[in-house]
Amino acid sequence: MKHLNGFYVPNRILATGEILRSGIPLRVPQVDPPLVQEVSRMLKARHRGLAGRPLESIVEQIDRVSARWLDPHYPLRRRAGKSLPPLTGFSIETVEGALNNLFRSLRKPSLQRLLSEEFSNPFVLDGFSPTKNGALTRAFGPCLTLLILSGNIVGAAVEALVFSLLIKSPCLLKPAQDEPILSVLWLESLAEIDPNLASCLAVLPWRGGEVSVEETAFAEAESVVAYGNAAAISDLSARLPPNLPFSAFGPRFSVGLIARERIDTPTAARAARDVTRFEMRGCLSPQIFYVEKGGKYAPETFGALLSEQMKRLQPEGLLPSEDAVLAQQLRSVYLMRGATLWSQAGHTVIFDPSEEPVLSSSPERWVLVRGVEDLLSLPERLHPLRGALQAVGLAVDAKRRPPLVERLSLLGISRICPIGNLQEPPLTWHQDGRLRLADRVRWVDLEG
Amino acid sequence: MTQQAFEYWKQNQDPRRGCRHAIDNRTGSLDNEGGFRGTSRAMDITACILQQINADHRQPADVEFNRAALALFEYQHEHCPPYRRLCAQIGRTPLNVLHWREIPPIPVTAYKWMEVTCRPAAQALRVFRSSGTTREAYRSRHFLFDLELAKAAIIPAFRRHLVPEGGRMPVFILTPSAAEMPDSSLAFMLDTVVNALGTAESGFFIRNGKLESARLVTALKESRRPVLLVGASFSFVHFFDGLMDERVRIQLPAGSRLMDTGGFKGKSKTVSRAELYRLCEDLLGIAEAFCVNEYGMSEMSSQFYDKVAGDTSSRAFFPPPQVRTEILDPISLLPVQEKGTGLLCHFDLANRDSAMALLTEDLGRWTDGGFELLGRAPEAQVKGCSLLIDALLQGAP
Repeated sequence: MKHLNGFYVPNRILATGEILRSGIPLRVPQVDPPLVQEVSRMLKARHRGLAGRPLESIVEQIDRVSARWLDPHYPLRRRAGKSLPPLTGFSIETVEGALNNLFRSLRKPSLQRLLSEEFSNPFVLDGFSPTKNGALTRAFGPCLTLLILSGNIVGAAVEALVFSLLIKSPCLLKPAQDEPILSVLWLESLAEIDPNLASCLAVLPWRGGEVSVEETAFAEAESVVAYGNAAAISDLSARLPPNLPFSAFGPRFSVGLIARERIDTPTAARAARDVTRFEMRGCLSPQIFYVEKGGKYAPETFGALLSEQMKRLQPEGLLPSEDAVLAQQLRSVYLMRGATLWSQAGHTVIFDPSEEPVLSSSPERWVLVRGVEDLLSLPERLHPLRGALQAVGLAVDAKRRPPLVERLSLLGISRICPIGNLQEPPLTWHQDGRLRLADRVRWVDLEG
Repeated sequence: MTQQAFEYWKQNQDPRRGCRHAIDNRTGSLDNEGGFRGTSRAMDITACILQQINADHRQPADVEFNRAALALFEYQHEHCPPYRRLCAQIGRTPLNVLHWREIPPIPVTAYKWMEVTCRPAAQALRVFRSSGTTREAYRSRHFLFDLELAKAAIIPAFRRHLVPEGGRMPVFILTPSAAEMPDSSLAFMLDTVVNALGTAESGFFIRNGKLESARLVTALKESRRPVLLVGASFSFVHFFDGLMDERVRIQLPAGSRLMDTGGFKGKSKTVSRAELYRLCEDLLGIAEAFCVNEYGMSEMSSQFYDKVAGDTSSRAFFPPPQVRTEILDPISLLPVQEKGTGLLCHFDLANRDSAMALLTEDLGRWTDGGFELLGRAPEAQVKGCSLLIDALLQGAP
């Protein structure tokens, strides 16, 4: 296979070495503090030019890149399609589906929708514009954003780069260790279309937690955005300079709620889509389904239906969870609780009828189904999960929805959607309950 | 047909029953004696277990072991509802289990998530808790109802491996006493050992969580008789570090010996066991042949030792007569091929009121004369953000 670059630094030739990641040869430079400093300063020098560029033209160019990527024959897309499955461990179908979703959402109409959701007047990003009370104000993105990514979801890095461009903030990206290539390939195609815009962004890989490199990056950056597990996030926040703005996207998970009137095959098929899409690795992946008792079918039936639908979506042959020992031990513990287990296509669905707390160390690809007397009383019991829950998928009749939604929305979640849509959030979704763009800008008011 | 007659008929219909119910037949108690049944059976079982504990370790009697194991399986199956559910799911009941190898094991992790007990937990005389491992926030609990049985399970094997010549000797212990740590199975074991085998100079040298090195050095220097040093491996590392810092060397009387247990996991300093024994020879004058490693766990009542003190043969853990060990493939749970690596599964008769058949997370391999311990099963290399979902799921209803 042709070499892939594991880095992107515009207008600069770097000495590189070759490393193998999951059998894919990657070219990467030796990243040390002087290099990080040099690249950071070069990016910062672009801030003025970027800030002066009309938002409209940035949106146009991102849209053109997306249009290319939506063509299955586009060479860079084909390279991504080939190398992402071995790098991420996701199936070809998952990767292709994720790329389609990503670039469909990064088209002009949805980018414009996002901008108008976040800013009552998006032109504040282009120049001083009147507010609705007649004052003048303008918004600036940070002169350098440091983006630190983790590798659980395909496309998160590209989305983060696009968000930075929309607020006109030059950006240094540290990609996930397992998957550094998608952001690089995307930048290479942006450079084909608009080298000037691409020169505001750079990708440099280093091992997370490398103190001297990260200290240099912190010293240069005006804002840090990080995705990662709890340990990585708390390690970062302990080392950050005190006044550096930091948005962290730590680990979260989602759950599904199935009303008694909706225990059926279509619901199970939709639930199976949510489970299998990112192999339960994302924060929108449902880990537990709460199924209401008292309907025509028992909650246990839903477990059987779900397992059957997951088998349809995911052909046999997927490797079983790596943690065979843990899985074996927990299997027995669940059986001792009187649980029923279905294992298919690498996933295990467990129906646990007990009232005992969930066993917290569940292996990968284990979905739990539990029965509840009344869905309306469930939100009260979910309170201990505040801060850990991202979204709730609902399968419930329309007339029962409002009171349930009312109570769920107090749980510190950021999204309530129909089951089956969990993995396709709109670009405007307030991830972790926050604004994605407006939270990161600085305002300058002009008077007199 | 009356109930009793029916039972008798059933007994004679089932050819396997004679063997399994030998205990009941011998003591004359029938299956169906209402309220008395549990107690009288439990007493019979205890007698039977004690017989195994004191059996000749050189000639393990498989027939008697099997008889006791099946009786105990029937008792645990009846009195521990979670265990009964596990057995039902895999289709094993006292009616179709003929050999101890077929008894379904309970994973050790179950001790963390539920009360693995055949009697009401509130009546327990002692509760042993695990010392807390890396993965779980929960600690396992092992409920004990018969301390005499627990002590009986400890002493013969300990004596055989550490004081094979018999008699008493000064025992110096590098753990807190059982009074200080009532939920530690190791402290309980060493307390029992001191009472049974120790002389008056014996004592505990960790008090209020601190190793009293100076007092230990004085005691060791003053001893004119061979001593027995016992404790956790990392406590010895700590003690030896102190000796090296102060350049102290002690030549203990010939015949002195050491027993260490546990790993170094989570401790500031890690040394290999070979290194530990080398230091032991260097600093205390105890030869490697007199250093015995013990393997035990809070979820078990019996222990394993890898050699007899003073014996120069190679090291291997060998189960005491009341225990059988199997090495199982982690996925199929079938015995591994000869010399293959797998999970250790112990059948410990002394676990009368918890789980006799115990599937551990410890990897092992058969060697000459016993098994070799290869450490903990590796933790998963999980990716992505649901990676620490683990901790997040805690508290989910």
